[in-house]
Amino acid sequence: MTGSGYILRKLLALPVMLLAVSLLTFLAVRMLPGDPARLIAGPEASAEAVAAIHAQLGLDQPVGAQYLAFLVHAAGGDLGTSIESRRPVTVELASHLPYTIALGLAAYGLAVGLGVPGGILAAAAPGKRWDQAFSAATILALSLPSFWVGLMAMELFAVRLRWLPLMGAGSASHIVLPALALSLAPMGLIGRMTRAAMIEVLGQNYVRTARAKGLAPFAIYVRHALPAAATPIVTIVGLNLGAVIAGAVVTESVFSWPGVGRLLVDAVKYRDYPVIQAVTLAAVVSVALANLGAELAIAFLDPKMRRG
Amino acid sequence: MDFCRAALLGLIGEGPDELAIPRGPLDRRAICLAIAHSALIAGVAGTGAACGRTGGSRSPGVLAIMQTEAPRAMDPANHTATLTGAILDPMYEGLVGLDAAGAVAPLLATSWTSSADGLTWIFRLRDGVRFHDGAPMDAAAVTLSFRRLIDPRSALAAAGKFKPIIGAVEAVGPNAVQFRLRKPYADFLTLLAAGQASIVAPRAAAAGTLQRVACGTGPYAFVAWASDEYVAQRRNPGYWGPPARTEALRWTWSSEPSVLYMALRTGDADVAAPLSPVFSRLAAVNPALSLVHAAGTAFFWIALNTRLPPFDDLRVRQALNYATDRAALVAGLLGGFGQPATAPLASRTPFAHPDPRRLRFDPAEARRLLSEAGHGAGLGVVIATQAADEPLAEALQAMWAEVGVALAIRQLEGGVYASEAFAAPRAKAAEGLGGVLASWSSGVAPDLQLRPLFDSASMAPAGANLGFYDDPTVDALIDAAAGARDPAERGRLYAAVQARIVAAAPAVPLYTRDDLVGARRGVRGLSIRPGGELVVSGAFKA
Repeated sequence: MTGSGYILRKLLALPVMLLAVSLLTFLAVRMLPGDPARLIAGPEASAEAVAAIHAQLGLDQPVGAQYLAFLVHAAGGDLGTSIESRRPVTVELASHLPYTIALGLAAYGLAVGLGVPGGILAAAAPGKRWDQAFSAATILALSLPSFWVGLMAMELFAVRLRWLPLMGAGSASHIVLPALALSLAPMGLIGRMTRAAMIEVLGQNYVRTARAKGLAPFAIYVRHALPAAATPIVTIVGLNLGAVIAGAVVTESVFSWPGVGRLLVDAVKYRDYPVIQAVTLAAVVSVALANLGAELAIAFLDPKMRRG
Repeated sequence: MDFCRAALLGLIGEGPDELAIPRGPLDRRAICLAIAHSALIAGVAGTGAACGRTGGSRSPGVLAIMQTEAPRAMDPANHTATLTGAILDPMYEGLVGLDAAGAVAPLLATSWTSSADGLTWIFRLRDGVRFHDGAPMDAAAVTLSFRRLIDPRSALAAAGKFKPIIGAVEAVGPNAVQFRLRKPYADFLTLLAAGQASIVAPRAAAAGTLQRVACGTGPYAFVAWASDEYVAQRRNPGYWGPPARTEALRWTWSSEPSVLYMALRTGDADVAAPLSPVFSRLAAVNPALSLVHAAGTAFFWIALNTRLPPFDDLRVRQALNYATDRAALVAGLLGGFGQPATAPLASRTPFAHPDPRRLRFDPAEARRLLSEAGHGAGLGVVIATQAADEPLAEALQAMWAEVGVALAIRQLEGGVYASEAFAAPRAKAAEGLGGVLASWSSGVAPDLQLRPLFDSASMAPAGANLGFYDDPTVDALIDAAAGARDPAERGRLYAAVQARIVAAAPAVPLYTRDDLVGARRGVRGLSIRPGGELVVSGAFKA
């Protein structure tokens, strides 16, 4: 199989997967106990008042008909109207998505930028002080709940030290704390993965040969070991995007970051079906694209994969 | 029912002023490399955040207020949330309002008269009032504002509050409006003072833009509701009354109780509401902050399923009441910021009739009643609650265990809880749901609490009579008290109905939680309306 054929097949599978995911989320969301009309009208509302809201939202229609209507509209780029804000869902997504993308990029940048070099350095001298410190730090990063880290970071850097803004999104400095909190878990994972991959590669015969030739350590690392270790590292980076999106839901709520994560939390709280649906689809698309990107990168890095 | 309380994800304790940072000997090269990378990343992050806009509001002309949840609408009639009401309050006004003491006062109406039967009310409107869009506030605007609420097809969230009371609204002159009520209703003026009865600009209402863009007559005008980040309001230069003392208001929100307190300390918020009891205690002793504290109307109770064993037995319901140490709940869970419930109404609600003798803590009596009912060997019961009330449920679990009642707590997510709490008798029986822990904030009208919680017509799913309490005498007393015009007569009727409810014990009243608002020192003019709504229209930074 050629590389381009492989990519094409992957891209063609995307719409099929989207359709399946849209059906699943549509059904799952409607199977959630809880009624948006009751949550709008509040506890004092009579049964008639709730029924009036149902009719207005089209929720009195059969679920199958609702799904077909959703598909027809979605094909035309219309994802429906938010029950809460009464704005088109596409407008909601467009106003929140840039924030989540910025936060995700910053967090991912931190995770990769610190995790990969940290792992490489740790692999250079396994069992030594730096490696032990690195291992401890990555375990901590992986296991601390991100909301707790977020609150602690706020207390330290925003309230006590006053180095950084507490919350919200106003300036470039606003992104630092949420990005840091969000980056920890993937940073730990990427760091550990890099370390393991590098240790394995550094034990290979050809690396020993390179050492014996008298090559400088830097040249061995960069030219010989890193390319070979890149495949598992890139895989874990690509696979981790889903975890980052999930983490964004919590982090955005803690830091009042106006991204899709915060949008989703309120949408679930009020059973805003069209918004839950759209955010889920957006998350699926981004994870699918990230995985595809990782596969492409691996194909590029690893000649074995290209030949299939 | 206070469905809107935020989930408590975690709390930060007030620790020592420095946090210990572990320092270990690190490889110098590693540090250099790490620093170089962070610099690179910071650059990327900087460009990524370019979508932000100017935030923060530490200037003297801007009052920043943070609450625990986002507003649900900019249309005063299309929400039932106290915290949304607080945001809308500076921008809208009703015909009448409530003064600080909770008494009805003129607002957009200057005077009113009612017929002898209490069914016809005529309001004379204030002259020269204009909406923020420049249109005059007149009889046409008032009739439109109410007709959209009482229209049988109305899907506005608050419509259910007005439809059963108001039959018709019409203009009787350019500056006078007449209401016809369906039945005499003594709390009619209190109902009109509710935020949902605000007068809205006809043009905005007709265009359907009110959901996102507010337009009223209040001392502040709407500026923006930005992508779930903040609501901005500025002083209304054409306001008919004394001008607002602050240039602009900026509302933000966070569901994290600890973040509200941190925002007060950094100055990101000048006002934070509602502040949890834990952080209220800290705010009270922090020299940079102050605590605004008002006896509240948020009433917490457990509705007992009177249709399902064991709570179909009066003795078991009474036993749980005797097994509940309300004073301990107030001290332990509210840090003292509340009152033990000794009536089916909040103590601050007019006509509340406390019965501390019947609602006393008496575990010996509880045990006696339980064994008389055949549960001497112990009894298991299940109640539903939301995450925010979990600590309260756990405290009860421990208290009731002392008298041999094993309480199983079913903690539910908000939307699921709403469905379960409002489930019909058959569904609750199938689930084995013996009780629901709930809270209710009625403001100042006893009818707005007794009717939804204890009238047989309000049995779930129709209303919040979650335990299916059914007593025709109570229904009749509730109706009679709501229609009575003589305060002494109302007092007698309300005392009778409350005594009857407490004797039948369809619920375990727990406590009333105070309303707590934190502010930075120097913020003046804040108040809290009965029902917990923060009033900032008169607030300013000294």
